[in-house]
Amino acid sequence: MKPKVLLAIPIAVAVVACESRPPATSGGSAATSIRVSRVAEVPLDDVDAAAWRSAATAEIPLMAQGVAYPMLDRASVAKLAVQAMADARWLGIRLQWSDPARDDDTQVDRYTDGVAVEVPLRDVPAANPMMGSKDNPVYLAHWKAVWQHDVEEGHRDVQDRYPGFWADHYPFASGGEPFPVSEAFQTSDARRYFPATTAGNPVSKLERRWPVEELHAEGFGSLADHRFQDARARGRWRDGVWTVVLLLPRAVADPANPSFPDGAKRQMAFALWEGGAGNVAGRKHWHPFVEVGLP
Amino acid sequence: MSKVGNWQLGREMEFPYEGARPARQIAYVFDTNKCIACQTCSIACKTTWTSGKGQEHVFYNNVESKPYGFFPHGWDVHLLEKLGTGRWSGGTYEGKTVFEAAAPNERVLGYAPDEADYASPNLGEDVIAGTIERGAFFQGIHRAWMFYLARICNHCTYPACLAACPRKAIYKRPEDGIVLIDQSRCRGYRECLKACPYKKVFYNAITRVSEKCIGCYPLIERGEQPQCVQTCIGKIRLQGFLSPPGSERADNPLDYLVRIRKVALPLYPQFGTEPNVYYVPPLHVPRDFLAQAFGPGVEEAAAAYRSAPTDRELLGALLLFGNTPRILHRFRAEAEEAIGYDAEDREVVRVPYTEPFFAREFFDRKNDVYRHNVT
Ligand code: SF4
Ligand code: SF4
Repeated sequence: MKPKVLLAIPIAVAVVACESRPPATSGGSAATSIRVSRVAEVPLDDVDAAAWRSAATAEIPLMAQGVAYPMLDRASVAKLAVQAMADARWLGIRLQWSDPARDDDTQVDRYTDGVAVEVPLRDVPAANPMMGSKDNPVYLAHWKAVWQHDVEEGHRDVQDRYPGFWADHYPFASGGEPFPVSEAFQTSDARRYFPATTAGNPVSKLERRWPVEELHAEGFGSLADHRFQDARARGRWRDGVWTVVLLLPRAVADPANPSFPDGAKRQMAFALWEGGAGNVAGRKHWHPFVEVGLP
Repeated sequence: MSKVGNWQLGREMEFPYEGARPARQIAYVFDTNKCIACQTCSIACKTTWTSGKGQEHVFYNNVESKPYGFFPHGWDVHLLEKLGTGRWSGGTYEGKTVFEAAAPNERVLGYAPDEADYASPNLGEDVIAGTIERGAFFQGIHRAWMFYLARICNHCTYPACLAACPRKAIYKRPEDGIVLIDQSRCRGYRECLKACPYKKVFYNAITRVSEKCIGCYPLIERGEQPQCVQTCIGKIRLQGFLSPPGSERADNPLDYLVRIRKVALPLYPQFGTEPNVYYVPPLHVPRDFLAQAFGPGVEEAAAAYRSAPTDRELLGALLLFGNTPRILHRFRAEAEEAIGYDAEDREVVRVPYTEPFFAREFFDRKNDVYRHNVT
């Protein structure tokens, strides 16, 4: 079956001053680019670390994705506040937005909050901010609230969702009720009923170290995770605001990663999902490329 | 959108991809008149494929009592309501399919069930449509009705699940038309789940991806019918392959039953996916209900089915159900027996029209014991 071709529509970039609250950030800037400040060490342990107070904030207006199916019919998040700092090893991106609920679980009718940044890997002016293209692939770092929960509290088990749930038997599982996923399904026989995990699907990992995934895309539907995962992240929801810090490596051997050397100018696009509003896949908020200037 | 031919609708329809019929299409006939809701099929499937943690609510095969049984709850009535009224003019459907009725921001008209809709797989089982008038119960025939509807993925010719997947992680095998979700590529967007009109895609919250019936393809690849077919106690099922429209063969049992004798009908053909599980409609259910569920061919199918006792060929094809694990590619109705052949045209089953009858004495003299049902 031959897919129909969808054309991306270029959309104007606008970065405006941020004096808003929430997201509550100081140092609002009217620039149409993201200024990266130089620090000795980009903090990751605390998303509210004092160092962020002096970093400039670019306010990125968000739009409903309306180019590729499925589209978001209405944007529920108006803007994303972006700050950036760099140390010798990391480019740190701090993202803040309003979200009335912390949606960090997935179920048939429940979707996770998330945010992603996208950086073109090659010829910048020609790159398509909508997932890149064959000739101009893009790099993405994608943070999800469900992964933040994974690293903080572990992979949600059936009994975490339904505390009274009881099953007398799972084939090849070891131990007894409640057969925790983290313990009772360690053999390949037991894992045969986790087909996606067994097939090596990165979204089906049962253990996760960081709540972020580095990905590569060459057009719609081509998203693939990196063999080497170098990025770091931390996110926290408090009082209706998500604050997420992404650490992207400034230089790694992996050719699927962009480099961020001193003085370089890079482009960065943004995507955001509000799980509580049913955002998933292309049902997302987005903003096209904004310039990121390295100090 | 492309224009594709949908023989079940008697017209062309819109579909996001160009039509590409497989060389042969996996297809099933389920005779609803014979199903006893023993759920052996559900358990055979579940034991084989979905016994893991996170799959507790996953039933690639389920058997629900119509009109009040659903799994997930209300799956068909929700979609029928969204789709609105669509009329048939003769054999042509004039309403909109799920592709044609899609909102501008989506490819397929659908919905995501609630978590609770999966909580009661057997809700409505054996519930009849209406009450039985006083005394009617003792008089034999009464007007209240229900029937058992066994359901699996339809391995649709135009799968809505595939059409909705933005990642193209769902594919239809060109060799047999089985529709699969690539478990290594699915990212758990659940677009397929929303789109499948039959709600035969399930979300696994442990692996965080979608899963669906795989047509027991390891069995198909070695010439055997799927688990749900082989284990069916009521012998209501036959799996085989449909030829592309226009190249039907009268000696292919699936072509014969579905396309030539038209004794078995697709479920909700108006959804537009060209589903490939075909049902012999239940004879005692009101025709307007059946017309909504199985389209305009209900009268013809019922008439053909009623003629089976005196129609050797049709009877022969129907008797092959549940009598061999092998996939039948050809059949022949002889004077006393129906014969089925596998892909290599080897005879694999021979079924008499009338089973030999043995009468046994109630008292077993040799063992000095009375015979009961279990002896
Ligand atoms: S029944 Fe549903 S899951 Fe199966 S092929 Fe059709 S649309 Fe896809
Ligand atoms: S095994 Fe056969 S008779 Fe039993 S419920 Fe399933 S389809 Fe019906």
